[in-house]
Amino acid sequence: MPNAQRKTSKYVDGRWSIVSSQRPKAIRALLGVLFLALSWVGAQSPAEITKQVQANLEKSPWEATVSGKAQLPDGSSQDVEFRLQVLPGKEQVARVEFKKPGSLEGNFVVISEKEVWNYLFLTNQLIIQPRAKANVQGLGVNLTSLGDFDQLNEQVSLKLLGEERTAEGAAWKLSGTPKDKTQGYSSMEILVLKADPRPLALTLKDAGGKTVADLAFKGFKRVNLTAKQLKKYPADAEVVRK
Amino acid sequence: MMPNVVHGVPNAKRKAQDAKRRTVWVVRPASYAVRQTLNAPSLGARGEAAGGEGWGGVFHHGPRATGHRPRAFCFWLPAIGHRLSAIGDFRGGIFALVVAVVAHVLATSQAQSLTVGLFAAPGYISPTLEGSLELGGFSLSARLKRDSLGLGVEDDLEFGPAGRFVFGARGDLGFGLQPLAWGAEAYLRGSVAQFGLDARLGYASAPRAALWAGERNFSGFAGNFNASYRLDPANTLRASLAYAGDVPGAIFQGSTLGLEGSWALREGGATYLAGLGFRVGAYALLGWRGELGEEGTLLDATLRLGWVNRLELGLFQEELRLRLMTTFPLGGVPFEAAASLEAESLRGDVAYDNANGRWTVWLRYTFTFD
Repeated sequence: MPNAQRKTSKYVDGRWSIVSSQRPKAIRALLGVLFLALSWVGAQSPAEITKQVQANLEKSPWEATVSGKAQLPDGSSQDVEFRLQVLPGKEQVARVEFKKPGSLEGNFVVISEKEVWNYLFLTNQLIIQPRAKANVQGLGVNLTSLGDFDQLNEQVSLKLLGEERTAEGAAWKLSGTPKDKTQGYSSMEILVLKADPRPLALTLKDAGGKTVADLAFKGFKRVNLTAKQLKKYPADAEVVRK
Repeated sequence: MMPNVVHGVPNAKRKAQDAKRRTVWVVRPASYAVRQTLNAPSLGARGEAAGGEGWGGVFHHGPRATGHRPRAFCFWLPAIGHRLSAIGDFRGGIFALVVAVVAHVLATSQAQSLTVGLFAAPGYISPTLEGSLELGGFSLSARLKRDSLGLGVEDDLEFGPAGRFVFGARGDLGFGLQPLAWGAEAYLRGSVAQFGLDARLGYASAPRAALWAGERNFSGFAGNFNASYRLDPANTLRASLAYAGDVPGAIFQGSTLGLEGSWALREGGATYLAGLGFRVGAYALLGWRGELGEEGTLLDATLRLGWVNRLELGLFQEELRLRLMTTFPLGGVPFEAAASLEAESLRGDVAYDNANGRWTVWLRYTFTFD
């Protein structure tokens, strides 16, 4: 990705050149070496970044709260918030618990390797579908691909725009367009924390440039999770297999 | 068309007996499968294909007072058995044919489930068979006992995590009556965002008890309309209107129409239910649903007091589901009780009706196919 390398280099180069003008030659040489090293580290391709993110998220179970604005099916924009819990490894399970909007509070989606469970609070129903068949659209994105960054790289043509400073540290800024045009968005931007490769923010836009979803990942933490915990549902729920 | 003789008792005499009863509570064991839960005040109904619960949904969480005690299937047995004696072979042939067809379809389609069962009541015993499968984008279902056959078709609208609506129709044929009994119904139920709906409308030419095990015995038109609205994450309102159709010999025709409204409050991990209903007379509704000390064990209790006096309890733990119901024999109202136990794929329903000295037992086992 020559374009990505150029942009990343510029960013690092800009900072170094300011510093270098105030330093003696030896230090300038040392910083030159550091610059080369940083350039090499910073010259990540989107594929490498998504691989790093995937590897990092697969290290151990984690959870995070995702919040922001999203366009609902009726076209209105609403506050959304959901808790994302992921158990990587052999028995991969992810659980998305909705907090906002209030009408979806109590609903949750569980995604395992083979199945997608969709629990609906108001009807107290758990709808179980094979994962290959399920396309759990929510918040303008197929929830079954959440937490799967390898899949993201396959489904979206990504490019590295550069870096940004965030409250949590320096972050890569990636943009992309979905290869499958039937997705509910036509472009996306994602911020990935460099120090601990994981997503910090996600923005989805439609063909008209209107924001479909603008979400921030907060409260990321490593936790002890089991498949049984993530698959828990009300014992009196009606289970519907499709 | 109502038969003139039911369980060997002429209708005129039966009406006279019924007139002595002021109010009678109707119990149907299978109704517990469709009873609503507190977090789903109106829409907890089990799918028709899955449970074959039929019109239980009409009255679930609604009062069961009618002016005439509906007869369980066993009450139709003498009449049915007598009339069917001449067509016994035909009936057996139909059953064998349908089993063969079902087996063939299961082998060539993506089967969903197959439930085999045995329904028994005094003087009557019949195997039951229920199946559902996905075919051509639709969910097809069939239910069969020795003297009736029902077929259904269902589809749904998926809204992902926001909700889902199911709509479908079913027709039943009963071979136990002359002329042949038939019934049909259409339904729509589900929710999207904060709105929930459970509506159905149907007609039966004969008492539905002749069309399927555990069904109620009223004929004619019947329908129910339940609507839910979630005010916020903690508060849900529900209103329901139910019409039970033609109850034979009813002395309180007004009892076929019922109204109920309730409010569910979710707080501290539990849900509290309060409401009012009217069927013949007014009654109050109170409920509690929440987890007990042991993690995963859930209790759902609903009490109706007034013109309807009934307690429903549900105890759920993973694959074990126990449902109990009892009426309070106040003011001359006869005692009725029912229990249902589900353990994974096995389910048993038992009911006892003191007024008629009647019991029913229904055992079922479900095979689920991926």
